Amino acid sequence: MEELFRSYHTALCYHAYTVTRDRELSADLVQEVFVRFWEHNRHSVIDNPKAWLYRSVHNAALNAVAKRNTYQRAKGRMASEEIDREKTRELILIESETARLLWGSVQELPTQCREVIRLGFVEGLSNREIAERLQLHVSTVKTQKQRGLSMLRKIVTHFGIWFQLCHMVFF
Amino acid sequence: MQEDFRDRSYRMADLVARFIRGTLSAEESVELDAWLEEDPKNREFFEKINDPQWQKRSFEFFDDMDENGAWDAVSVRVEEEKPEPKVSGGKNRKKFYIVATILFALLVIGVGFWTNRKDPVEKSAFGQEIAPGFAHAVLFLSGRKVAVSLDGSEPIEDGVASRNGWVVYASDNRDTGEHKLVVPDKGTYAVVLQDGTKVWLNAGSSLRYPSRFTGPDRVVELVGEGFFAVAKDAAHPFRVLCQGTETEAVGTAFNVNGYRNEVTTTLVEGRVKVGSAMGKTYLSPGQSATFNSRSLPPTAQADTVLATGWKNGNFVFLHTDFQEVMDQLSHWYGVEIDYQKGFRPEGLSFTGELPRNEPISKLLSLMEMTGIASFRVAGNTLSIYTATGDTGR
Repeated sequence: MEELFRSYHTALCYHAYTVTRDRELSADLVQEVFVRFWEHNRHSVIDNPKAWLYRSVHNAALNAVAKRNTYQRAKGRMASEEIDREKTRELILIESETARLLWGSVQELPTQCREVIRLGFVEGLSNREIAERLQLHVSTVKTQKQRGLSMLRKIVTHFGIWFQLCHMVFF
Repeated sequence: MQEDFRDRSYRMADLVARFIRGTLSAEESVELDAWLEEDPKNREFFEKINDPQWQKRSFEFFDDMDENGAWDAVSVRVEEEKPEPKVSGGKNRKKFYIVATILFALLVIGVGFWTNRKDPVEKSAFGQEIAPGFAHAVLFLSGRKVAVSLDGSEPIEDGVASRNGWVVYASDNRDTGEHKLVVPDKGTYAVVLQDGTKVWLNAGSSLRYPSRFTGPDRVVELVGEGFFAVAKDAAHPFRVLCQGTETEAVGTAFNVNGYRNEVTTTLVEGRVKVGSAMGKTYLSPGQSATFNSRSLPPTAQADTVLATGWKNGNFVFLHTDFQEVMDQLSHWYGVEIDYQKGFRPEGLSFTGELPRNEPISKLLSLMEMTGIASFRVAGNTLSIYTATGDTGR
């Protein structure tokens, strides 16, 4: 089950978080789902594990929100969003899967490589600053940038370059 | 219908991701456009995904996730359970009946011995009896895992051996890999690390640590509950990481309980610094601090015997929060706690002491006598009713 876990765990947490807006709750929730999955799978092999996991997480998240809303209503506060509509559900799933396809492999990159992506994408360092920190030639960075620029949109230039750079340097 | 929408969703996610990466083919582009046209919500969603803010936030979500920690927490709950044999479907009925008859015959014979044996599936006044936990665990080393228990003392590899409930690392151990000792529910074990630090692990816990300490500090990572007797080394602080909390000491004894979404460190002797993103505090012996992600740490006077009783083989409760008692019970006896209708654990507390090495009914009797609740055990579930509730016993 470890492979399944490593592949989907974060995406499932993201999915739950989109519904509950509570990181800790989402993490707990997903943990419970995986334990249940493991137990369930011992008795009857689950056909489509990915779908089973997403569905379970979604339902668990809805239950958690319903519980929370009930409690809040009892305290005089009204629930704000009504999330349980099929369209929204579909879009939340697509959002989680998209995020997983884009960033899922970030965790698999070597620690240093992840740092590079973080520096470029999240902290917005320039090529020179990155090259300095990585002890690489700026020309290497520039070449990669040129190659990528023609294909990628501007926002992805940041991310795409570092990803390509990492792959080139470390693989 | 359900399956349709899911497959389509995976497909659309794939297309959207390709678009972001800039690797979308012409045909795929047409497919994506068609989807965007279908519903204004789709287009709205697409715009959100293309917003740099969304990309940054979602990236950070994935980057920040502690996958190893999460896997540890889950694997501790699913490890050590033997897979049940799968029942083959429907064929060989005749064979089935023959086997069933033989089994029945054996059962009849076996009944004769039944009453004389101490059977693991005993009955008690609460339904089913549950035996207490015992020392066993799984040690994960470089690329392999070894089950350890009280029977047998054997070397595991150079510089590492298992003896009487302890995994022992020699001080001159040279391997520098990261090891992990996983104690399942109903288990307990202890380890002497390469620097001489002793760590006792409670049921349903695990510890990640280096096989040999190098570098300026000695760092280990805990899931669950552990008691640490840290070997003195002022030059190299010892740090215990647990759910975002860090307990630091140079040579001292303390307990860290991270079973729930909060971490409580209780100091027995010496001095420790406990900190997290919320702040830090220093403890003196007899004090404890509880961190959760929502508040600054409160420091409280603590009865150290309470927090560390488990390590000495005892349950020690003194006005202990009912849910904390249930935590300890659920891990040590490997039971799931099921609060029945009308039962409110909030505000309840229990005082009592007894050895851990007793079947569950002993503790349940003690608790029922105080009128705090009524209990029933079936399978691996402990059902909790109000004291006047009908448990069907």
